[in-house]
Amino acid sequence: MPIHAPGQKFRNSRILSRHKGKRDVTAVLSLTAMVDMFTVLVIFLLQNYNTTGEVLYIPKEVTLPKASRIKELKPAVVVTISAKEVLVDKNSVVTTEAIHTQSEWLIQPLSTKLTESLQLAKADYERKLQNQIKTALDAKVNDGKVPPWNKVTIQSDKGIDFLTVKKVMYTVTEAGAGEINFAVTKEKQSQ
Amino acid sequence: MAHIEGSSGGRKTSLELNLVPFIDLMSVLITFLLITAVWTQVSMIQIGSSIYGKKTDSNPPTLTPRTDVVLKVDVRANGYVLTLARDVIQIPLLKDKTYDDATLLLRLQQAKQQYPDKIDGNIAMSDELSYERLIHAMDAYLKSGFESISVLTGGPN
Repeated sequence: MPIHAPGQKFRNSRILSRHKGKRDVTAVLSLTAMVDMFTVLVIFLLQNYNTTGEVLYIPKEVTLPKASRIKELKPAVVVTISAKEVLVDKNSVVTTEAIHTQSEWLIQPLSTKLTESLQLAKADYERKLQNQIKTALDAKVNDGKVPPWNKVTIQSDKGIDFLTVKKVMYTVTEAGAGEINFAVTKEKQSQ
Repeated sequence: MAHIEGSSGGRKTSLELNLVPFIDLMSVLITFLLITAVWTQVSMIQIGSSIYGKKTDSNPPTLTPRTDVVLKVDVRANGYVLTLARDVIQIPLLKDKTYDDATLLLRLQQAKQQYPDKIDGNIAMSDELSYERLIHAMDAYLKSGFESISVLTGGPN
């Protein structure tokens, strides 16, 4: 029995066997097209890359209106108004139908939940501040402005009637929010 | 592998560029960028000084310049009505029953040229209209340079 050098043997393959065939067959894989594609893809993705910005959960049934003069989204308590229900930070609070039917402007379940959320946001903010230089920040950050925990972002479907949005805005303010922002999608400027 | 062969002189020189690390790097980069990509960019539009805001002693309202000049946009079912000081400008719907946002923007830009210091404006809207109209009116205000927008609780006059 002959002694072979260690390593993989391809006895039955004509292409891969090195010693059996008389001619060498080299399978060349052209990488140029793949490298080109990778480069284009990387450039495209890098152009669209966002280093900053808050990611917002948008339910499937909510279509945000478009606006061109926008600001960067800041972390805040999010109130979502869809055609079916109103949510506070992904938690369903009240149905939109119930808001339609009620004549009062104050939506009680939303107010209760929102007060809790704002208190939680305040506690969270103050807890973080304890680790930092609290007094120095208080003096500079809250210089007559709305404190960071006291902001609410309203994310409403574009087809919702204004009366419902007004009722939600009224409730949000009554619950103690200092600043209201509307979530929108960015519209490309035609100019 | 990409290689360059040169035949100058008697000996052949072969310069091989190793593409494997480059492809590895590209693959990792593409995977990372695809995972972290945000396809729908959500932003926000801000109400400058909402009249819903509670006025407390600790947080007194700050007055903006030229508040004596009334600037109000009424959003109605039949179009916009722009009130600037004593002038009332009707901006009716277009022929295809859409709102004439371009004319509203133009009129607001003219108002800004007339009162460059003024930054506040009001919006009154009919209850039955869609929320999208409010955003469009606010966007027109912001594009014209009126940063402090208030939304009125009552409907249009």
